Amino acid sequence: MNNDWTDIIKQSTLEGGPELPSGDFELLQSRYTAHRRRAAWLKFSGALASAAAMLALALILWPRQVFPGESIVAERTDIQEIALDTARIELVEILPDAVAEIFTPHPSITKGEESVAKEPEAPTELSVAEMDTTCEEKVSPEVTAPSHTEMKAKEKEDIQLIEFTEKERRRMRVSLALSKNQRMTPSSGSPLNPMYQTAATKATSYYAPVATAEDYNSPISYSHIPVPMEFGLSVKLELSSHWALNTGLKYTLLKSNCGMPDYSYKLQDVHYLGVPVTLDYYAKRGHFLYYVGGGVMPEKCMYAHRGEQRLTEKGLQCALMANAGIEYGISRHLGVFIEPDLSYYITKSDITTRRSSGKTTVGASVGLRINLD
Amino acid sequence: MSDSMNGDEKTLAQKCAHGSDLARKELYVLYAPRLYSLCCRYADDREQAQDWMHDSFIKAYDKIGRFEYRGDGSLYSWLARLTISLCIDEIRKKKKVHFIDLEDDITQDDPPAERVKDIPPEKVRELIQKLPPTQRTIFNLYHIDGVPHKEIARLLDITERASTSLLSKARNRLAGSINSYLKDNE
Repeated sequence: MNNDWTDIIKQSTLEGGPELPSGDFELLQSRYTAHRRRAAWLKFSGALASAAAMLALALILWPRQVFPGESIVAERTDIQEIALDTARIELVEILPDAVAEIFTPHPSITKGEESVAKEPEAPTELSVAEMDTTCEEKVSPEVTAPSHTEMKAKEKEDIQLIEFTEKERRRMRVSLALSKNQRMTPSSGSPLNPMYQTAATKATSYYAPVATAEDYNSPISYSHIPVPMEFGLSVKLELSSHWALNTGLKYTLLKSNCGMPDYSYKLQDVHYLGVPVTLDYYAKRGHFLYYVGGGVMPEKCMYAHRGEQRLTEKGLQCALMANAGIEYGISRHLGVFIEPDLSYYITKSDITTRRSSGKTTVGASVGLRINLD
Repeated sequence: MSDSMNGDEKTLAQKCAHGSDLARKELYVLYAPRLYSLCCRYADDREQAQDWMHDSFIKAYDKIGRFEYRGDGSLYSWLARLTISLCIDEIRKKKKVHFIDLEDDITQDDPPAERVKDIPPEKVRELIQKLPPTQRTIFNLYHIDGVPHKEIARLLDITERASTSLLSKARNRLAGSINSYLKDNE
């Protein structure tokens, strides 16, 4: 190694050297600032993705009772719509007496339970809606004109009933306010609670069905959590320089809040595991990979429950899928992608979920792709 | 290198690690010329060399917290190692290097040392630059930056034998170029 001429070459090479271009440090600074921004964004995205993953995991492992007014959108059924409209008409007809009765504190409450007695509410939009749902139990006693002695005899029972109704009324108020512009879906069961209907109401209200044992177990309304949770793992098999076959596993959780005839709510969770198979046409431009494709996705309901009740779904659900995406290669083996997709469910589900009200779903997947070439 | 700054290498590295813009500028002022010269030896042109030097500074700014002071000059050694590593990565990423040179070079005589001294440094760099990319990389690594064959083999993912062989070819070719230059300038 220690040839004289190469040592001299080394000394010559290390001497002096080319001069740096002017303004080089400013250029370096701007590049470093951009690099830091990018790094910060990546950290933020990573933290966000981790938080989202943890939240999703927590939601899966710890299902809780969600009421329509919180983060879900309630759907009113057609029957309920008719019922509410009819109730409005009736309310106008019997307004002089009925409103007075509704807005007057219950004599037994004012007497015995002062804390329960409430100020009459102003007839705002919300309170009109709430009256709609509960007018029957308020108006009907007036129509049938029960005696004062009878009311006294049922004093305790009535107090409990009113307390309960007030509580439920608040829930319903939020639900109805949010239900505007939502899709309507057919529903089974009665629109209003038959438990609180008097004989007179049953006789005069054509929309009030007689409650059966089955009605008490079937939801009367569904409030679907708008965004289902989906996680996937996919494998891409390149068939040629432009065609690739994609397959993998996709887990979907559909959550709904079911309004039961006794005015309680039950959380319904339906867990699906699907195997999407799509054929993609792709093209690469620099760091970007563009692709469009389509295929099918059979899905199996792995587990479903409504409250404590276990639900079953026979057979497979099948969807036709179309997707398009862009992938940006961060490195040789790692890329980020965004992939909007459209799914159309060709089979009918036994369980009422978000998909039952609209068979076509539009979504977008965002994720990381590891290329194992 | 500015010797007066050697004692402050540790402090400078610490300040950089704490995110001081002034310290970063000082680091640049002290080491950028030599790192730029180093990059010029590995890159195909000046623009590419500038890009690589910037990348190495960015990497250094990010990782300077891991620098361990081991005496005067250790900061430059650390920066040089980082820059060389980055240059090699870029070379490997950029092109498929052909390590088999089918050309059967005629063995050249070593140029006389006392006459090599008279060659201007710019001309020496120009002659090295004219070597085939792989031979130039190995020549730079071994003779200029003092990287042993074992490490060269690891960096370039070749065998030590291939490294020795390519270095021999590079030396022979450079010797021929220098001899031609000396002959022309007699």
